Amino acid sequence: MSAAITAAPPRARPFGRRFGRGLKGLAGVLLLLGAWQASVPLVGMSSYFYPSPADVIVAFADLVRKGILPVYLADSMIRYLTGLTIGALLGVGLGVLIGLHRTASLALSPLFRFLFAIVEVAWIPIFVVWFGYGVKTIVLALIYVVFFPVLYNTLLGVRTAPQLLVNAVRSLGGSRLQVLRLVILPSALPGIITGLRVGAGFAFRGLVFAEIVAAKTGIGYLIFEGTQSQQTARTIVGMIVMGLLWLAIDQFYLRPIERATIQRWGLTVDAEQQA
Amino acid sequence: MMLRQPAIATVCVIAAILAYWLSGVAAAGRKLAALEPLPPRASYAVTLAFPPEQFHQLRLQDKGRVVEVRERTVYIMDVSPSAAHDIAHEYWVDSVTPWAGR
Amino acid sequence: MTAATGTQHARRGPAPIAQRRREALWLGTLPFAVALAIWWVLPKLVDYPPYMLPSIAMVLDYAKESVLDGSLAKNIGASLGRLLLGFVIGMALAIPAGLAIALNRHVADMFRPVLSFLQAIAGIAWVPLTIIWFGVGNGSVIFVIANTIFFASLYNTVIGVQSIPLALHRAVRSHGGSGLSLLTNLILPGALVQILLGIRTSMAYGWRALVASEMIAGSNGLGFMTMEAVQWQRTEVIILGMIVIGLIWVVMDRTVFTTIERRTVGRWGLLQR
Repeated sequence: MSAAITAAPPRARPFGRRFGRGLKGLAGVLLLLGAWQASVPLVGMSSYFYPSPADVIVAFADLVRKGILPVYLADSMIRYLTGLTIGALLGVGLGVLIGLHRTASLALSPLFRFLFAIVEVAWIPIFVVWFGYGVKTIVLALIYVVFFPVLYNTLLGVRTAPQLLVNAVRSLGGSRLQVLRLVILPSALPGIITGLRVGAGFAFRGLVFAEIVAAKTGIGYLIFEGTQSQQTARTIVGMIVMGLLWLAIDQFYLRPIERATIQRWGLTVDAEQQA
Repeated sequence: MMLRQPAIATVCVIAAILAYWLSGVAAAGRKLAALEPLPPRASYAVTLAFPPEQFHQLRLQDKGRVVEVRERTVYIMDVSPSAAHDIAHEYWVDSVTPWAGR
Repeated sequence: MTAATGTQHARRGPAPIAQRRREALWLGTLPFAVALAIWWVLPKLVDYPPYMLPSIAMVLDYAKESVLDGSLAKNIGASLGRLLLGFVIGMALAIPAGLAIALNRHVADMFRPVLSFLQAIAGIAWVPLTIIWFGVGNGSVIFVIANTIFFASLYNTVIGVQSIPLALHRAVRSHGGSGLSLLTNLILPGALVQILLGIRTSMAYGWRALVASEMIAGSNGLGFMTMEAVQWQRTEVIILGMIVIGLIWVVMDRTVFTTIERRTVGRWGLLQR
């Protein structure tokens, strides 16, 4: 009980109530699965058209036993992390550079805004023409998807750094680098994290799309190939893995990082301040 | 520390990957034990626990020249020792036996 | 003298607004001009096949051709029509579902895990399945759009209901309102602002879902037109498609969403979360 209190969020929930909610959630899941299983004979079509939960479980075991699922999972994750990292680094780097120069940000903002309006999925065809099918195209599309939200939010964060603090550091003899490190980056951090969160989400969906179009392995490919090879149960396995994967990423990485930075420092960025 | 969750998750993932890889290395050693030392270019009959799918054939094609697929066995030539280890590493490979080739 | 003017930065304050706007406008068009110039000059400097980067003339020619024969208009119309239909279906399902979840704690607890999970796979992941169920064409695309919009709007509806101040609840109740009148007089109007504000985000996802699903499972429309051109190596079609897709989103964003924001936030003020 004491552990619950010290670790408690503002509204501490008694254990019994949380357990109840968990049970109800589980009941919801079981209800859905039950309805699905029951509807199979009602729909009355082959498992190619409408696989049952049992078919899906069998397909899952099959995919693991044959070593297909681990490899596809690894491939997808490698592509995702590569695109995310490079896109984030580019976005933050350019965002800081551009944000520090008023002229540059005025000049480049409309261009970036238009480029981002061309949604990332619309770039896949030209990427295929330029780079062919395969990993290069997929990672490039991911970099694109992550780059823009991170860039925007970094720009916003950098440009709304409190001028007062910048002046204070300067007046104490701080160099530009120190201004950057002590004022601008910390003030831009919530924006950067927000941008990363948006980018991570777009990138995850973009990954699946890009893999459907241009990949020979990966979860997206699994989802696509299941329907091509009359093994629709595999498609559903792919979808379920995708869902669980995103929930894991969100739960174990995105939310904790967001909580650790934004909530801890309570910094907010007011969009109206943008010059 | 608030960043505990990502750190723990990352450690778990890395640990899982390491465990998978190490067990693969051990398995490779076991499967190839009877064949050591491995010649620089050899032919093998790779037997799986099930009839190979497109996925497995594609992966094996990277390791050598796939000549034939019969039931659960893939016959492959021009396999280097490191490629042979890679093949034996996979847990869906039941056994690797020498083959006369063609 | 040099010392005074060289090292002292006299603070004169910001330039007048009109001048800043003109400066921003001029600076903003500069990168576009540079990009167009590079695009125009590049074929003369570097040798590469036209399917890699068609000349501006080729793109303009195709633009003229597709406008004149009506094919571009048809594609745009088909895409927007599907977007609208998917949007309507998605919202029509999301609002009642959102109300049910926000108003009933047991329903919320039961379905939150399931819905969080389904939201994680909303959209494109369903395309292969829809191809099997509805075949290539309208059905698949509309399903995917509706699916995407449903989950995006569901969240906003729930938040919208939850952000209605308790005092208002009590006020309506104390005047004898309950059940249906509570719903129509308090809940719906109260949640409406949040729902409307959320439309922008839902549409961002919905637009992507439209283009992406048309590329894989469509038989006409902007996405289909752009992706199909890859097969025929008609890159000028791809580029035109991309520009049109970008322009339409900019127009939608500027007109529809800004109007909504002005009408709601402007009139009723910012929301408390």
